[in-house]
Amino acid sequence: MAWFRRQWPLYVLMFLPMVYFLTFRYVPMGGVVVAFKDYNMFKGIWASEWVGLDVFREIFSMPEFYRAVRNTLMLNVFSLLTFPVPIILALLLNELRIQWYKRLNQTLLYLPHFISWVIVGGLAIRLLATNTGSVNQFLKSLGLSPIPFLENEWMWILTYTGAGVWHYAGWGGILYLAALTGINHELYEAAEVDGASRLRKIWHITLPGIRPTIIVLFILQIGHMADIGFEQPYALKNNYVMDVAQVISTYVYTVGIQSAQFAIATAIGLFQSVVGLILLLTAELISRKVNNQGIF
Amino acid sequence: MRTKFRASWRSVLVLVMAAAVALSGCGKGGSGGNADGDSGSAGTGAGSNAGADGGQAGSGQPKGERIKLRVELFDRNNTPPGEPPITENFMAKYIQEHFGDPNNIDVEFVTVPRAEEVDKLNVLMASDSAPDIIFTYSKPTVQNYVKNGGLTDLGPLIDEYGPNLKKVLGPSLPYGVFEGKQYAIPALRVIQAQTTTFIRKDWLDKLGLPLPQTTGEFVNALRAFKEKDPGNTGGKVISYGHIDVFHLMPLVNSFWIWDEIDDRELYAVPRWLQPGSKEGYRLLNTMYNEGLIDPDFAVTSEYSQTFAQQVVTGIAGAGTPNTNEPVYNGYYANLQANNPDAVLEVIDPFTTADGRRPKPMYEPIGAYIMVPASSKYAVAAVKYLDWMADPKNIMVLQNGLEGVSYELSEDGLPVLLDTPEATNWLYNYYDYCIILNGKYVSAEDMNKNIAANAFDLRYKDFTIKSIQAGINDGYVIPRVDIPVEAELKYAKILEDFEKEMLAKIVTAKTDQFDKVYDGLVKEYLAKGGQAVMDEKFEAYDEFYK
Amino acid sequence: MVRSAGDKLLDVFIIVCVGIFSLFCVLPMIHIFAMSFSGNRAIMSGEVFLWPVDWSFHSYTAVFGDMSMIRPLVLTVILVCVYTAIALAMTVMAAYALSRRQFRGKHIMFGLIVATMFFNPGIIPNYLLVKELGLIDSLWSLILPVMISAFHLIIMKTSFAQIPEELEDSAWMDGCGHFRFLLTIVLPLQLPILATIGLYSAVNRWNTFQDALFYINDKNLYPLQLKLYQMIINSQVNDATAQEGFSASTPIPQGIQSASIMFATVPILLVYPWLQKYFISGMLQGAVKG
Repeated sequence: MAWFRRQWPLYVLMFLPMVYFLTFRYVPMGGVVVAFKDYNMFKGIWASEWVGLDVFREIFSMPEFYRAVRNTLMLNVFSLLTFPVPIILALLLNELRIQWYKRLNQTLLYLPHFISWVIVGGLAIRLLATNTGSVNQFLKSLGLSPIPFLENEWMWILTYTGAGVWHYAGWGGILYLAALTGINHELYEAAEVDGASRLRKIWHITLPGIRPTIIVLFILQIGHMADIGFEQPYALKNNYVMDVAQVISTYVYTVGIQSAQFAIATAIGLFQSVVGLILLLTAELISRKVNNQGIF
Repeated sequence: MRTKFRASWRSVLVLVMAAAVALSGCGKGGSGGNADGDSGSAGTGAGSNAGADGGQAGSGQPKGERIKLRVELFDRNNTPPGEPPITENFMAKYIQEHFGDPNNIDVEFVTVPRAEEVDKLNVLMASDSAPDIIFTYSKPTVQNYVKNGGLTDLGPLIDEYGPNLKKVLGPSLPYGVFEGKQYAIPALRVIQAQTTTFIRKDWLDKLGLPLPQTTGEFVNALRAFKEKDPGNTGGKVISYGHIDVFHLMPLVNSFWIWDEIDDRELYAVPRWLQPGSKEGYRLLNTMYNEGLIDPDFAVTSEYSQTFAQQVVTGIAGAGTPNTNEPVYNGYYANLQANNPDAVLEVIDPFTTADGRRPKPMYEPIGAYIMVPASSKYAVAAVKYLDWMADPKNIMVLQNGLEGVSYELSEDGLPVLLDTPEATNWLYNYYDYCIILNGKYVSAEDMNKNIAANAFDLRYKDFTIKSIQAGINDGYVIPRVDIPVEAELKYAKILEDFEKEMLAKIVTAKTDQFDKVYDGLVKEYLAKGGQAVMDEKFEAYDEFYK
Repeated sequence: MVRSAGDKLLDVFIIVCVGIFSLFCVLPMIHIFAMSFSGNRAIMSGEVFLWPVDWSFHSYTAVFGDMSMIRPLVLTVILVCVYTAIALAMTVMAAYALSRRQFRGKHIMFGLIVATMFFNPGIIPNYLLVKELGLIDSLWSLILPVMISAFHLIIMKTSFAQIPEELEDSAWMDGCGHFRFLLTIVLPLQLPILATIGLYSAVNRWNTFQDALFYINDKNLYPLQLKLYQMIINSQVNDATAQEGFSASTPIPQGIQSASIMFATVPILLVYPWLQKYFISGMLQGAVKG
């Protein structure tokens, strides 16, 4: 009883947020049932005919689908490798002593986040096209041979990943920077007294201080390995590299939306959701064993 | 105490979940009684009445009761500053005064952003809130609606209320027949020309070369451009630009062995398998390996801006863009602003062995205009479209008012005046005059229509020649009214794959060409190309038996 | 504090590294800035790089001169402010509750919330719901359905959970219940994360227009990004140009696209530095609390 007397406000606080999630997330979720139906938009979601797993069977019989899944995973793995970049960025920014320079850089680093991928795609072509791109023309003028950033499949993957880092690092950095400010100053002062070098301070104080944030973000990123945004691959893809550039989101766009096959689009989405959830839970369990900490 | 609380918490959760599921269940059925002021459409709750044969349309509107007719209108976000919104401008008012009021109808325009027209339309249809008159350029969307019973059969209505429509849209109406019924009214495309080749005439003059009349002469001219660089581009010259599957068809078509292709095969066989096609692509491959083509062509997914830039900066020697694109896209003008001596000339060089110049043309249709099955005002809708097809109204909707925004030339063709009204009234006239795609002045004389569409007087000659070249020996794929399931499913995938194919085939090393070509064609067939071809043959036989 | 030569070298290295990265980030923006002030001919000829060629304001007059840009701007600013306030409030409430060790049932609730990050049934069911609630053509359709981001919630909860348990216990001992604890102790300590999530929410709402595309039909209620996107996409819809052939409108020059981007980005850039001071204040609080 004493427990309740103390804890009842928590339920009050949770009430509105839960209403939100149930109303605006769970109610429309009923719509995933379209993945099991021969969806007729005029009959509606519930009156359309039930076809069980037929839609899934159809998807799994499309060779394109497997290519899209493979590419999605591959690109996401590469992106995962760039996970430390925002962390390093935050650490570097934190070490800057000149305040105005620090703030200036913080602002500048965040800029790419505002440029939509559509624009970035156009810029990428102007800069990186093998024969007419500015970077390659510059290389040519130096007598070097051009680099097929966008035309060679492996180079394209690197370009894609690099563009992702450019777009995201500043944004991610802010998050870590905010987490950094919460570290107790006294720890630094104590280390100072002990004569610790900069690097040791970072290793023993700063990093552990933001450890929870790092773990949570890492787990979440793993959970999203089956997912991939639409804009980045769509803007950067071109016809030379479709073998590696066709991902699930662009595939769903072509097959599902443009061809008006909603059941297929929903079914693929459901597939991604289930896979993502499994990945997340797996990552969570492993993290608990290793770090004694997870999201939950 | 604790256990009791936990248990009750769990049951609350279960109850809430159940309620949520139940709520979503009411989702569709309940929306019939929606109260958010979405007037006009969707009187009956849900399209569970799949009987889309317009029976209900017979119950028109009782005379005397004012009805609201909702018409879709594309929003291109290009209203000139200071002008009223597109739902209340000159056009809207004219329509209300001359159609709405005399017929006791309130015409209301429902705007849909042009770029997302299909997505937005789908959402409106799925939620029973679509306007009474809808349209789209996307055929799969139309077929989807037909398949799911979402459209009104307009056939009987046109017979009764649409005499003007029948006259003006004669050539296009048959394309709106699906499953034997007139489910859509396709707009009439006045200009069927698709693509037209042009070349830098001033460069030819410098080199003392005549305008190319055959494929061989054309390629030689391109080679000369590259070797001698008459444009002084410093080696950056792109002799032949705008490389993509669609725009290369005239070139490829000139290699087809037309005697071996009958209508049936023209309809069903994919372009890569037509007899002779491979040689056409081989020529392109040769041209690429000789450096006559833009080396980065496959990196751009949207060619129009890149090609425009290449023309304007004076490095493009020739190309086959959309007919008259240099004029309506403004890059011919920009080229001449940079270089007043530059001249683009229309040519039609791709010739078959027997001197013909076959090339694809558009079917004589524009957007598909439809009336949803859930609409109560199909009669009013057809009346509206019929009113629009009256030549008098066409003239106003396309040109404004005589003496104010246009005047008639000696040949009786409307010529736009340089007045503010001309700009402010007509910047999006084609979105109101939806039954026509292109300017239309005569039902009989094609040349008058062509001339009427040469609106930029500086380039009148270029435009007219472009159109004429674009329809010279032009062909249209035979029409088969039976839906091809495989096509609905695979069309988009195959279309995207064809772009990949082109990139790889054209850039292959010469000795690898055959291997690459054959390999990719096999892949194409495996991805659904075979299924589509087989079904198309069946459909053709079924339709024409 | 004495700084060794090694330290100084490290300092320089860091300054240079960060500077280079920032340069990469800002260059495209400078290019867009240059294009927005350049003449059409120069843009089409590809002459513009980092500085305007043929200085001209025509792009900005096209974007601004039209009063129809001011209304969406004001509307969007108000929308973003209201949205951020509500989003923060809701997220804070949930994050706080879920971060309390003694909260029974939190695992189930949290699980439900995390699940929503993965399951998205697409536009049609969402549209039906919004329509059902009568929110079509209401700005609330841009606020309510996206009030809480599960991702932001997780981050905030993780941050809140780091507050030592003893602090909460001693506060309780002093007669401070959860509400007061949250308001008077937790929030001031967590200012940096609040500022961050607030910024992310605001930027998200400022930039996103996909929902407005479907939920808002009334042109008077268009948010800014939707209007700008329309303008830009019109010049890139080539299917339409091909399909519409002759009737195609002249595409909007890249200069206007660039001016639109500047117009849409600058306001947020003005807000951001102002928020930065909250990062510092959090640090000081940390020192005092010790």
